[in-house]
Amino acid sequence: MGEPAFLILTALAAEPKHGYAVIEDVREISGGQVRLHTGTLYSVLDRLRESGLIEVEREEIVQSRLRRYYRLTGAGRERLAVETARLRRNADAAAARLAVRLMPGTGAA
Amino acid sequence: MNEQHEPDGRLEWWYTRLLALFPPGHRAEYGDEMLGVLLAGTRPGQRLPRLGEAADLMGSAVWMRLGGRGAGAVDSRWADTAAVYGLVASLLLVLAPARYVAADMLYAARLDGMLLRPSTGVLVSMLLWGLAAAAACTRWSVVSAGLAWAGAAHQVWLLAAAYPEQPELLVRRWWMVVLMLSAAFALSVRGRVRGGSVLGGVRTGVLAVALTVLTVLPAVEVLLAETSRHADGGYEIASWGGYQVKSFLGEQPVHGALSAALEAACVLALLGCLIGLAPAVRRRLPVLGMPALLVLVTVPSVFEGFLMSTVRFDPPVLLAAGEWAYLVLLPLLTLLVGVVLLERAERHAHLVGLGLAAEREALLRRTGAAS
Repeated sequence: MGEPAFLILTALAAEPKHGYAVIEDVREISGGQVRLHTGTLYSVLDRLRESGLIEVEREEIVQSRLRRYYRLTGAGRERLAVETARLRRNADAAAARLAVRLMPGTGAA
Repeated sequence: MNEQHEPDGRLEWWYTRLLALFPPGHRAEYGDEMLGVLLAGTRPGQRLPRLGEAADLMGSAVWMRLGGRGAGAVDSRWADTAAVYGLVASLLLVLAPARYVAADMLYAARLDGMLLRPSTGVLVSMLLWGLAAAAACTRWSVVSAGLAWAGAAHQVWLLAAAYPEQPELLVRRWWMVVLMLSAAFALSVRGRVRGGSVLGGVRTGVLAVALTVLTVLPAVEVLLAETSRHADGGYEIASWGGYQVKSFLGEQPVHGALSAALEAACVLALLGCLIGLAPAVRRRLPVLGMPALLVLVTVPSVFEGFLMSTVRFDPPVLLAAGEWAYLVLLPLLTLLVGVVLLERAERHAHLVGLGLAAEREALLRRTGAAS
C-alpha cells in the first residue's frame, strides 16, 4: 500500500469525510509534508472503493455540486490496522539499528 | 476550506477542460465531485489552475487512459453484477448438461444395460465451463475469462460445423450461444471483485447446494424408479412417489414426487439468494440475463415454420438474412435497451433523492433561522 492510500485510510478512520476534507486532513496528519492533488486523490479513492476498503456513506448537493462522504469499511479498518502494524515494525527496526550505531564503544560515527 | 468566495468562471472552464481528459467512466463517476474539490481549493482571485494541480490532473488522466488502476472504467455496480452473473451463468452452463448426461447414462444402464458415452463436444464444453466457474471463484480472473471465451468459441465452432447439414441445431441452441457469450463478456469485465465475494459466503453455499441438487435429481429419480418393459418396446416408468411416465429411452426425463418437491425448493432458494443481493446488483442481473432468456422463449415460436420445414429438405433450407438479423439483433438490442432504461431510471431516482434532501436541508435552515 502506497503512502497516499495509507494516509487517506487514516484520514477516514475517525469519521466519514468528503474529498476536500480528506485533502486537508492528510496535509495535517503528515505535518504538511504530503499535499494530495485532486487527480491523485480520486484515483486512489476509486481504487480503494474497488477493493472494498472504503464506501460512500452519503451524498449531498453543496453549491449545486455533488459531494460524497466516504467512510472505511470493515475490511478497510482491518487493512489499515495491518498496515499500521507493519509500518510500526519497520520503524522499530530502524530505530533499534540507529540506536546500536549511536551507542559509545561500538565504532559509531 | 475556501468555499466562502465565488470561484472565477474562467478557472472553472479550465478545470472542466482538464477533467475532460479523463476516461468517460471516471468522469461520469467523479467529474462533478472533483470539480467541486478543485474549486474549493482555489484562492480568492485565482484565475488559472496551479501548475502542480494541472500537471497532476493531466498525469492521472493519461495514466488512466493507458489503462492504469483506478480508471473507474467500469461502474462498480456493473462490475459486481457481472461478477455474479458470470459465476452463475458458468455454473448453469456446466450443470445443465451434466444433469441430463448423468440421467441419460443411468437411464440407459438401468433399462438396457447399455453404457452411453456422452459426446466429446458436450464433455469439452462442460470441462471448459466447469474450469471457468472454478477460476471465477478465485482471483484468476484472466484465466476464468479465457476459459469462458474458449467455451463460447467451442460452441460456435460446433454449431458452425453442423450448420450446412443441421441448421435447426443452430436455431435451437442459439440461446446457449447468447448465454455463453454474455457469461464470457461478464467474466472479462474489469474489476477485482469475485462472484463469490459479492454473493457472500452463505449465499454462495446455498447457490452451490441448490444447483447441485437440481443437477443430481434426475439421476436419483432414475435410480429410484421402477421400470417394466412393454411388448411394443416401450417402458412403463413408475417414479418414486407415484408419478407415471410412459417413455422411450432418452425421450423424457423421469419426474417424480421427489423432483416436484425439491426442484421447487431449490428454485425458491436460488431466487432467495438473488433477491438478497444489493439492490443495484439485483436490478442489473435481469438486464444481463434477459437477452438469452428472450431468445430461448421467442425463437421456438418465431422460427416454428423454419424448424418444421428445414428438416424436410435435402439439402436443408438455410437461414435467410432477416432470420439472421433477428438472431443477432434481438439479444444486442435487448441488452442495450435494458441498460439504457435502467440507467435512466436510477439516475432519475437519484436526482429526486438529492432534490428531496436539499429541500429538507433548506427547510431545516429556515426553521433554525426563524427560531
